Amino acid sequence: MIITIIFVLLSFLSLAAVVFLTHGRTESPANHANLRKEISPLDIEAFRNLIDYREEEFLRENLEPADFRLVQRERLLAAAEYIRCASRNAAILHSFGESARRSENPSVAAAGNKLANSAIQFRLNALRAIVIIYAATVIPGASIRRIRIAEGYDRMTSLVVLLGCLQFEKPAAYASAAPQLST
Amino acid sequence: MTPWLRLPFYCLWFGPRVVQIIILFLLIKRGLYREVPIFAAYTAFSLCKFIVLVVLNYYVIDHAAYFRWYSLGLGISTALRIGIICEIFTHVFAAHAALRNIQTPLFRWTAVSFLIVAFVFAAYTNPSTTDPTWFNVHLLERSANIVLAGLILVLFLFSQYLRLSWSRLVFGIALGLGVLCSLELAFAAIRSQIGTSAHAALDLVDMGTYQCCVLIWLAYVLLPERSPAHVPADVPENDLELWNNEIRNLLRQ
Repeated sequence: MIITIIFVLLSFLSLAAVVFLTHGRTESPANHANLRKEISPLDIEAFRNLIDYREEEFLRENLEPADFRLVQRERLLAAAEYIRCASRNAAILHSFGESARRSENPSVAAAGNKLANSAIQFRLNALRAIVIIYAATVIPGASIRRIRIAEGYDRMTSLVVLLGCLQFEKPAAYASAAPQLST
Repeated sequence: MTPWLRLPFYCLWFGPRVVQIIILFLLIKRGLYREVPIFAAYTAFSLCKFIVLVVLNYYVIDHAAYFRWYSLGLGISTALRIGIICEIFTHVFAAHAALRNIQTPLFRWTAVSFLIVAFVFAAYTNPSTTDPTWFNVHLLERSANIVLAGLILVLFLFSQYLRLSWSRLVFGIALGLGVLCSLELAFAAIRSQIGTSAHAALDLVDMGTYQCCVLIWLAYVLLPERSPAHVPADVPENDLELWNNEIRNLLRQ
């Protein structure tokens, strides 16, 4: 009987989750001007510095092990925060890309498609990177060298600018979003 | 069955079929069956199953025969529902080149994970005092609904995280199926436990749920697809030097 009760509860939870997850999808597309305001500037160089293994080696050599672990943990948590912020930006750029890919202009549609795909790829990589970073905070000595986030972000920024250029004759919001992406 | 339950019972038994005939007609008329062939097959199969069960119900007195056909129909229907989810995965993922490589592994591993969960729960479920055939059929139905509801939930979670765009028709099918599988999970769990007692009341709720789901499907079949979004007009803050630099970088890659 307990299993039955568990399943009844699980089924209602599942129903609530389906309704919750599908709720926003029927609403009208977000206003791009408002979305642009939600983009948070990101200091890419500072982020590169945080995940640079040479920096890590330098700190390891010059700090006491206990101090190093403490500093490294702080650095990793800061890097995770950067990635989360970049991931939120990527989600916004994905919306721009999705709108552009439905454009009647083939060049704009192609650029929009590229931007949407880059943003998806970036968010997948960001998810993986966050898992690696949190694992590294728990497991001392775990390497974060495999993280390739900054390059993806640069590429995405370039695509936003390209999209802006393609829209030059039909003015758009995208290009003006690009300078805000990184500082 | 009490007389006052008879009318809602027949309304809920026949009602979804009328809606499904309309859905099938619209799918064929608009050529949408090419877009969602398994969903069209499922709708057609549901109608065929209904006809067979009505004939058995009125002309064959043997309840065991009815239950055998019902169980066979349930099995085929579950297989078609898995096919529909596979179809939804393909529609959602195919639109994004970045996701093509993870479509099959995500579907496969999610299904395998939920299948393991379903088998573990099935192994730990004590057989109730009800008819063993009844118990086993509903235990299988419960297990199938765990996998189906799990797959749909993971798909919605994944697409919510990545903010993937869906076509309206595919979204409606997924929504209806998600609601149906979630609630049928509860109904199958209760049925396997309590047997045929309260069967009529449960049947009414189950059929009411099915009616709601086919109405969701009908609504999304009737809804026109979104027209291409207009490129937002905004006054550009052009920085030609920045643009040139970025394009130069892009060409160098």
